[in-house]
Amino acid sequence: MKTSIPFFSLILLLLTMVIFFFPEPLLAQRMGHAGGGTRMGGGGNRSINGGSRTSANRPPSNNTWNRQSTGSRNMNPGIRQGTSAGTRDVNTGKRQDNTSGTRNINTGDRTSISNSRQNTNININSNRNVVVRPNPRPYPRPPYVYGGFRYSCYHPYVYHPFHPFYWGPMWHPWGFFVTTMAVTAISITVASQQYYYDQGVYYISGNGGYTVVPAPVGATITTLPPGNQTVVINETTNNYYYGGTYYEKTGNNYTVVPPTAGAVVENLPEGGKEVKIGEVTYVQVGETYYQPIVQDGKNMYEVVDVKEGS
Amino acid sequence: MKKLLIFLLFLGLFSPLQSQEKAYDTIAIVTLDHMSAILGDLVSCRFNLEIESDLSDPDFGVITNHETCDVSFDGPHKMLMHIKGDKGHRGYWYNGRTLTWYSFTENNYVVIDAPDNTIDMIDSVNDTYGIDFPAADFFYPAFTDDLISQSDYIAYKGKTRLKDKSCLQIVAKNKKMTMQFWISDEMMFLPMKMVIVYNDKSRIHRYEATFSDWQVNPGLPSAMFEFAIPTGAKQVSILPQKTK
Repeated sequence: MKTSIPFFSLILLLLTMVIFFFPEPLLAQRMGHAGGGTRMGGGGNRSINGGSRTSANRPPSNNTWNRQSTGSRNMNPGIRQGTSAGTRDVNTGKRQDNTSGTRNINTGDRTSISNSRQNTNININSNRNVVVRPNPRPYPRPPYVYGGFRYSCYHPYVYHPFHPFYWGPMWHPWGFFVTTMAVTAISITVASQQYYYDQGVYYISGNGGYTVVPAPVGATITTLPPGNQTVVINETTNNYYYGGTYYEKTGNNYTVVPPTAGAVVENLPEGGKEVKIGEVTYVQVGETYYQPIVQDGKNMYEVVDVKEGS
Repeated sequence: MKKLLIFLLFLGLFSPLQSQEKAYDTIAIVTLDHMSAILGDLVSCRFNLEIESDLSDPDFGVITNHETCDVSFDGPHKMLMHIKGDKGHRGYWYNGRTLTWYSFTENNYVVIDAPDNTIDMIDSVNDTYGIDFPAADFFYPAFTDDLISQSDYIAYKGKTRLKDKSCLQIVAKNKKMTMQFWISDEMMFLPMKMVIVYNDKSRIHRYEATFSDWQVNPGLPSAMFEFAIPTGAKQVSILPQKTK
């Protein structure tokens, strides 16, 4: 019995502190709203918002506003029930969160030369922790800020619809499946994983064939695939871009590198998808976000520098 | 132990947060309640909005963003908004099941599964995707209680005229912002204008929404709340905000 009094006091104390220290409800729209629990839809209520509600436990109000500054009245709003402070209980329904996490890329069968595709469930991490090399050049404009991330670009956003580009009959998008490997393919091992490289496309074996995968960073080739584009990174460095892959010259060879923020390319491969991030529509290719821009009158895409922060 | 509890209780009761005085003017509260009750009794409505937002700009200090909105509500689960302005032309169709956000400028659209009533939809979509529905604050059923919970002071400032109409002006304030409301003093206590001035001017300095062309309980065809895919429009995905 002795111990129950301090315990009760402790609970009372905690409740008091929660009420007094954390009075702000969650915010929505311009003002704060408690949200949720609008009790609409039933009983034939046709009101646009379910009908107005007022709390029975409001703090006292006074019509002698100008005298309130004397501080003599206790205007503590205290605990309100039902309508304001507290947690939000909103039925958010099923959301279409189809951007984060993994995605499945269907694959086709090269031997049949048809579009019938087998689902091989190639998982490509497409979250916002993108692997993009930062660019040391300062950005001339502030980043676009949305959802706790900052999206920086050198060029202003100019939307143009995304149309996937095909680099020729020998090029295939990620997830494409073939049953036989071309005799011209070479074997490359990166981080203990064996890849097959043929004309700008990287494959791994499995499921009785070979599946096109993103080019592994660090893979080195001796000859760039024809049709590659030179991308100026800075005064001393160029990249070479083909099929969504960036290469950098290393001696007499070319090494696969991650995209560099600010790199501008004309075409993006199949597998890219448009995604609205706030009010901006980016194109997401694997882990990289591209901003639609116009450069010298041409529709282009710039690699976005995404950093956490707001 | 007892001394510690008394000390903590003392600390909780007399903390700086608690010591702030709050004051709510009766006339203001009654006016807001009346407006809220009238909005809550509407079965449909349509109005126009003029929005002006003063935003921080690294080059010019502050720039003003302007938008016009055509807004329709029908029953508890239908809403349509057309918004035109500096950020292009966009529309929101809500039919009680999904919200479709269509960009006329980009000719692409997003479909979001939504709760089954308008207010929960607005709340959910705003929370998850950061989509802001202009002046939606007025339509929350517990508008007055929400304002009380957010404000340290709510005051009735008197009668004024707005666009040749008699209005009642109400001011509310908290640490972050000062809110002003103009409510029609005529037959219908409908909202006429809202101005929010932010004390924290990191991004937005001032937000102003002016209502016009109110239509009360108009007959709105259900089909107008169903999105019809325009020729060549492309569906794109949407990224939710970072988990809070």
